[in-house]
Amino acid sequence: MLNLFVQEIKYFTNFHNKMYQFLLFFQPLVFLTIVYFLQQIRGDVNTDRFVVASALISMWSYVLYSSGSALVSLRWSDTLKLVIAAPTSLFQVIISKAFSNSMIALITMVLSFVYARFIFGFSITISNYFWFFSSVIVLIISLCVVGIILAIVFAVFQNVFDFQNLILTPIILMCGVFIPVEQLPNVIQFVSYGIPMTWGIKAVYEAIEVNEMMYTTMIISLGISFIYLLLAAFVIRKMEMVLRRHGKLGAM
Amino acid sequence: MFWIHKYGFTNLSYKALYSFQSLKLFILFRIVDPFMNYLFYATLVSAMIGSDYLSFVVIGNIASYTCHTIMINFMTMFRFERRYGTLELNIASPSPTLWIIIRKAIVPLFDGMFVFTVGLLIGWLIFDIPLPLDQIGNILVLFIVTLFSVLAFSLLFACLSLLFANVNLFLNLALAVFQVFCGVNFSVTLLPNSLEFIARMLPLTHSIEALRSIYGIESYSVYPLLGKELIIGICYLLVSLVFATMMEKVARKNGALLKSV
Repeated sequence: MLNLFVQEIKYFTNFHNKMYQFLLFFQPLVFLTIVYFLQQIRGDVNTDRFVVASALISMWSYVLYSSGSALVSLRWSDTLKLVIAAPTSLFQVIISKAFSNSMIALITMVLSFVYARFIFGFSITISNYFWFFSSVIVLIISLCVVGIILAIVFAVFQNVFDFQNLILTPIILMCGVFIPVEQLPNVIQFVSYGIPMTWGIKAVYEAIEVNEMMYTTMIISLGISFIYLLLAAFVIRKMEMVLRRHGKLGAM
Repeated sequence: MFWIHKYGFTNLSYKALYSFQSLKLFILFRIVDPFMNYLFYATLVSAMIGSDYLSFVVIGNIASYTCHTIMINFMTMFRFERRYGTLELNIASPSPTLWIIIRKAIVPLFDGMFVFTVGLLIGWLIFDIPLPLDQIGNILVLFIVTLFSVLAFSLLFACLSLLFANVNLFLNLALAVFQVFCGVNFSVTLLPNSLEFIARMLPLTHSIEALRSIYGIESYSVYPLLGKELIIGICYLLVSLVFATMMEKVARKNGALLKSV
């Protein structure tokens, strides 16, 4: 399992894929530039939230495009048969991919903070680093779980992969990246709170402010992520059985 | 037969090279996706500096998304031609290459028109930005001038893209430059002088200012801005024509079109 994780990290960090280079290195720069000039229009803007938002957008984009294609790409490279025949379970393969992608997405968060501080001169006020790092770990776990869900959805349903660009923005808006979820319409709140990432993002924002609700939010985030992980393990097990029996499933 | 011959080429290009062939895909990627894009920036601006600035950003993004659509279409067309090995066939055909490219530009042109029109309707119906119906004539002139300058730039951009083995990074960077430097989300006057100078060399910058002025969001004179946009378009067209002609000559001489890059 650890070996799989290390291999995945090595594979994705060689940066042969130019799309990932853009998402990790350039996208936060573009977004921060927009934030920089927008805050000049109204000088009293607290930019902390938008520096973090820049990181979150790139992290989510990376997870969507990398973990989302984790299973489908096995079919493209014709390695699905080998993976199914291997003694390692499909769940272990997918979780190692999703977790390594979430860890790589962390690079963009670090880069966003570096760009924000050293290029744009934004000061980011983090009162308690322990709780901030804890919330980032919670966020990584939620991103990992969302990545696994995406991998399953894109693999099980025909043609859903073609629509992955359409998922990008609604999730950013619904998960409270710009506006807290509490301020969204009730129907959207209901859906938002069902997404593990919403709680991970909420935890990061609350940890920056050292809001006393952050402990509860982190526990909820971990709890929801765990429930989704169990469900994902169950579904992947079923998928593996169907693939072994019939040799095909959905988009695979 | 005459009509099939006359329009069959564009129709075949559309069938072969256009990504959205079904109504469902067209609605999703030409109405829903742009709407999401406008909503994204509208939400950012509302959260950051308040809703007073919302119409400024939405109008900027409508123009920007139209430009993105045309650029992406043009480049996808060239990319597919390269992938399927038909680019060389275009060059080898008896019709002038430029004429072939112009006929293929009809699809991106119509696509851009659709995105622009729907964008203005979305702005009106969803973001409550009233359509200046008394300025329809000016909007039409702006639309024609903007499409001309963006198409001219896209032609150059698509030709340049042939120099890159992987065009995705090139495309994304170019779109990001447009998003930041063309005054889509903030006025280019906020940029440092040197960057503002570069921004004013790009297509779209003046068009966005003119469109906002038509909507009464900014107070510039519309026609001088459109005049500048037109001159910029002509400059890009001349450069792209020189580039396309050079490419054609090199391709005829070497028997290949930058294939080894």
